[in-house]
Amino acid sequence: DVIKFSYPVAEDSTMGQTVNKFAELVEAKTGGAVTVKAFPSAQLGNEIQSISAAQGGIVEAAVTTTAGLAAMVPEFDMFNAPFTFDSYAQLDAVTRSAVGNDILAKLEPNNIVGLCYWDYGFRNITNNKRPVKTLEDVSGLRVRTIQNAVYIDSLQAMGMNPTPLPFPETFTALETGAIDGNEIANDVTRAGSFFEVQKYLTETRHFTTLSVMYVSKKLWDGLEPAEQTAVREACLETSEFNRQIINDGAQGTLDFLAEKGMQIDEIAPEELARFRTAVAPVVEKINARFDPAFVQAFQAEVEANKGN
Amino acid sequence: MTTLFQLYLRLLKGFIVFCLAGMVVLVFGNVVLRYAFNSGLTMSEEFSRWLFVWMTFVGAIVVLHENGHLGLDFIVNALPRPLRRLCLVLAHGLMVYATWLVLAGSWVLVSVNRNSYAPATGLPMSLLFGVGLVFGLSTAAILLWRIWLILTGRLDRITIVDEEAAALHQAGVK
Amino acid sequence: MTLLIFLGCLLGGMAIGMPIAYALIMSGIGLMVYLDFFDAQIVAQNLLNGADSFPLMAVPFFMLAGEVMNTGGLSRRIVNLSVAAVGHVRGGLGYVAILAAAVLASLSGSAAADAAALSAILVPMMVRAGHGPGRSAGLIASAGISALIIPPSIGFILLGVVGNISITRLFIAGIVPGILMCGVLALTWMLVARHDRVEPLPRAPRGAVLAEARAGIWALMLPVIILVGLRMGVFTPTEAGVVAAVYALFVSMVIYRELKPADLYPVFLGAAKTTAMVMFLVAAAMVSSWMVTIAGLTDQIAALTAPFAHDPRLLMLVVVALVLVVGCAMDMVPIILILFPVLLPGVKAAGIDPVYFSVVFMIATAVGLLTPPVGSVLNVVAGVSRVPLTRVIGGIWPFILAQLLVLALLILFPAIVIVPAGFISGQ
Ligand code: NA
Ligand code: NA
Repeated sequence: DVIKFSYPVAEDSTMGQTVNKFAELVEAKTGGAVTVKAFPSAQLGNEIQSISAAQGGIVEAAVTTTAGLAAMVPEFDMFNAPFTFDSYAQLDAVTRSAVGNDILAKLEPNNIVGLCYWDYGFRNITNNKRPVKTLEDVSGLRVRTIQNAVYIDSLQAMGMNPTPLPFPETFTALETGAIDGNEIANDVTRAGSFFEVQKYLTETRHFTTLSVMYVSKKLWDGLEPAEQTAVREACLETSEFNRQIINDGAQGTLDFLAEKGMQIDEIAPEELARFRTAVAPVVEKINARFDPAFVQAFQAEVEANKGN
Repeated sequence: MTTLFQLYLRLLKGFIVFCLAGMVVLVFGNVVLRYAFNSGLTMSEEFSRWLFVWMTFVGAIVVLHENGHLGLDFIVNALPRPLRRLCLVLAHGLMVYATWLVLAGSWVLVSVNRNSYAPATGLPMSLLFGVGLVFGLSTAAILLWRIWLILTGRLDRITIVDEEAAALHQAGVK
Repeated sequence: MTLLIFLGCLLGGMAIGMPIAYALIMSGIGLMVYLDFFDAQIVAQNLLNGADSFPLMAVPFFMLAGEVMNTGGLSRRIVNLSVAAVGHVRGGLGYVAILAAAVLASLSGSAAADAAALSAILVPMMVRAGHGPGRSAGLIASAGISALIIPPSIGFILLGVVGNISITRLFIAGIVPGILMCGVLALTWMLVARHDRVEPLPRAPRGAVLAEARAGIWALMLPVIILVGLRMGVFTPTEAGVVAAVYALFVSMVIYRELKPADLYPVFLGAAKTTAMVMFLVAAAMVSSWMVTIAGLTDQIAALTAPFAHDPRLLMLVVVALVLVVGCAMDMVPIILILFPVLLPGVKAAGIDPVYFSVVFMIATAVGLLTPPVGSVLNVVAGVSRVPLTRVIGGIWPFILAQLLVLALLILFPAIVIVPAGFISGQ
């Protein structure tokens, strides 16, 4: 079997390396019975289009952010809630927990099989107006975001003016000043050359860009049980590789951005508490949509892994 | 039957005018809101895009009926009549086949997306893809009717009327 | 083999009389069958997603702005102002045509509509003044295609979306080459019209010029609003389109009072239908390009251009020649959708700036609108001015030569595009 794997970013990005690692592992673990042909840069469609494509089986695999998948399985929004995770270790522990797998399993009735979680990294605020160190500093900033209610509500709750904008339009909008800032992973600020048009970066880590790697049910049902196990293992093993290259590259990316002239700031812990207070109603609103027992289980996992 | 179809076409034309007007209001409204009130409607981008998709495919039905899709009609129109009819039947047969695939594929999309909702407006995604069914059924009817006309000898030439015609009309040339 | 299947279905479909959009879908289906990867969802999903794009919404907005300008009296006032300003110069009506085209070009998005509006008023005037009808119509047709180079431009919007290039940058990069095209046309007109026995119009009194200027200033404000708004980041290209449309509606309904509420329905319907035609083609092209990606055809085509890759100028020359030849038989939108995405990777690999390439590609495509047998601007001008097509063709060739000269200049000296574009965009 050949897995046509669709993903939205360039091949030399961390996600591109992750997909290539997955291809390598799948081929090794199945002795070449299953191979992966990757199509980067949204050649076969953007994130949302890839979901439909995999549901119908015209592509066999894709990776989509939990923000994009929340339209289908709203429980993914628990991962999207702002300031939920302090560290990658905490995040990874929750994604590998029983409750993390329960959410993945909710994809299956929609004709896709979620195999595991990969990541693009924490999202941070960049802008052209002023250094951001306090809650007041973000107030009134026009910030590009994606079309997701949790994202929009959270940024609004912090006092920003969120503007959902297609990715290809973002650079020019920042360049001409149609918007002031962006909230995105540092790797993307680097890969998309946003440092050319943005002065300030603050490590707010307000969202994660957590993503799910999934395959079409059509492919899954056609695989031998041993092959299924191999592919799932390959996904999980790749997730460790994915986290490792994100961690390994983090400092280098920051140094690179600083060298390109960006001013890089942190939020002090007591100030971070004010951010959390500001978004508390949004988090409450998210959780109110789900089964309380489920929410509790998720929260328990988050708490148990605090300080990891 | 023909008057009923004419009525249907008028309805479609009214619908695409509504879509375009809606897009103008939503997108312009958002520019005004952004500068006058420092806010914006988050559903505006998404809903105007949906209007755009609907306008495109419902408009494409009207354009097909008016022979407005671009093509190289000068080649087939230079052929002798029997050959020309053969080509037209073949072309329309293949177009019906393509339309069938659009219909079948849209049906798949509507059904796989029955649990998916648009992020900003919360409208069901099936509504977006449903326009494929409207487009497929309507154009299939037009194309099959044309094949019938060609086979019975009442149609042997299709002359494309495109934006040229629109421009001429606008300048007052009949 | 995959390339042959793709081209065979596409060209065969067009030859037997299918609309190009359907022929594109057939070429996608042909590849599906050949690769033994058949699924109706591929056709439907790519078709429906193909139109789902916010940047492409600039297309209907600029179409609407163009329709409103032509029916609402904005275009006519621009022509009147040009006549009052330079009509008394020897051969001046030719310069009027070029000047008016240059301004109109920067307003509406559609070359055919602009050429229609210009030729309806100017060709009869030029013939009355003593210029040959074929030459007059030819000049207006060739001035009209500057609509696609001077921003805004439907062509640049499509190029930007298809090639993932900033539309704002393309708009800004088009300004200088567009003005250059108008300048070279004016020189050509000076040469070919110098022996015409013409009666220049009497010089308009200063008061009349001022009156026309006062009436025209509302129309002239439009390009200023669009370009300044884009450059200063007040809005995105899509928003610029809607601002242009709303402004044109405001001026023609409230200031000029030429557009009545009853005219709105046909104006909106016209813009919606033209948009549907363009967008259905865009959507159909997504079906074939998805299969082209799966089949790995882009690599094969990039390999075909590889022999020229060592010499960027030679590569540009080959590409321009290809576009000009295809442009004889095909309209602008399908050329952009079919040729641009397959040529772009090879061009980038040769180290050519994509914005520069887009501008040159756009000019070559625009020249195709003037060349028979399929030249929509040529046909529109002949139709509106009621001059036989053969006479227009007889009159247009010096101007086509002039445009080719501009292309040659841009290939030889890419700096003509790159330097001012960087300067204006502040880079
Ligand atoms: Na223009
Ligand atoms: Na032509």
